[in-house]
Amino acid sequence: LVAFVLLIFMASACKTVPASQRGTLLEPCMQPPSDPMEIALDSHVHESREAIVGGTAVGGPSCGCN
Amino acid sequence: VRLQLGAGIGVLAAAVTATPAHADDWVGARNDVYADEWIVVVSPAARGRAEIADRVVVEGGFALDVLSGATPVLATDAVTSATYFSESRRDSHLSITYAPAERWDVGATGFVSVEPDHITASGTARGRVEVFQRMTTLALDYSFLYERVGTVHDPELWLLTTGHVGKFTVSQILSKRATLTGVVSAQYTKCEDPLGCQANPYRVVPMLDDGTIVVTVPERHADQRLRTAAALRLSHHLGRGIGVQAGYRFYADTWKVTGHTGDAALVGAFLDDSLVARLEGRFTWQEPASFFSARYSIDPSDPAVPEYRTADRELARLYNVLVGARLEHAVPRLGPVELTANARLSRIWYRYLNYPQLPRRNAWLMGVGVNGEF
Repeated sequence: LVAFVLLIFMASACKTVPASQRGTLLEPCMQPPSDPMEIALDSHVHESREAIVGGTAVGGPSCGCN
Repeated sequence: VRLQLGAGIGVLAAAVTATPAHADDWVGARNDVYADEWIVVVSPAARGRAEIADRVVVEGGFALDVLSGATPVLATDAVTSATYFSESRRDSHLSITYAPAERWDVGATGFVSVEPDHITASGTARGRVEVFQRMTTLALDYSFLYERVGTVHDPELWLLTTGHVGKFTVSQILSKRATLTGVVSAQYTKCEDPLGCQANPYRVVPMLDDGTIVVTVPERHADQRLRTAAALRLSHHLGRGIGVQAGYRFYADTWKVTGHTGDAALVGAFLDDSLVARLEGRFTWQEPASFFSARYSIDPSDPAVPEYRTADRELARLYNVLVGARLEHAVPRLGPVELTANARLSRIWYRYLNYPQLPRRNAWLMGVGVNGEF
């Protein structure tokens, strides 16, 4: 948790990227698999075969373009 | 057989994917098949999403697992026979998201999963806000889990499991080409079953005396479990439509299970982004639960069985490796519908390092899907 608080403070220090320059972040190569059903099934498969759960990041940062 | 061993957090997490309130309407269907030496699971699924009012989006879905195969019957050192079976699990969810402003939204999801001896229901509330010139996105999720667990041997017996799941996500734009996402999650479960929070109420532990099974006793786990995980994920654009994504997760729980998961993907978009190819790999290393043992020996001087005992190989020391590929293609527009089709194929190798009776499992995971946006 401490690490995450630090991460937030470090993130706030990042140089702001103008919205007009964030188009690259929207490109397909920056996205997770687009099918949410596939993501759900993958989680189910992995959790059925190991005792590790959680920490799953769903989605990512908003591009803040709109 | 319990299909929803991990229904607590993963399936639920995917089911409650935050939906942007300005997203297009969307429908999709897919079918996946998991197959290894012992079982085949066919998993058709369908989902849809629609903006039903200004800034209000509703999403719903249904999924089915049809499992058939064989459960190996283990003697001291060998697989001696198999019990054939077939079973199914159904789950569905309904989610609503309200975004009163561009920079924040809130939502709720109901989820239910049913199989013959196991019912899971959950409710989730979540919120998301963008801060620091929309460079940072913070999200908080909370879910309440409710499970009823029965056995086919006793139709009157339905035991209760409850749980709480919390997840905090920070996503950060690092530069014009890179993003970083961090997640911490915790799940607490409390099980009414006197045999504890088991994944399988039918499993027994063989007790050995000088290598010979003299008695089998039901597995018994602790009746509470706190499971925590922390993960980081980096996405970086390499140029020319190529990107690399990598993640790491650390896991620990109160049964002393710890784990490390790493994954990476190389993603490329071609033909004006109409074709997206993804090569991916994943590796997990897991240390066993403190009370796990593949075999328990009876001590003649103290014949009592251990308070907690399990031979569940998913609680053993293990590792697994996944290598896979995925293709997604935007097919020509069909009237107002923008269609994409996808297919994937993965190979998974499971290795159980202190479970000599059945030390390996090799699986294929394949699937196809089609999605339409309006």
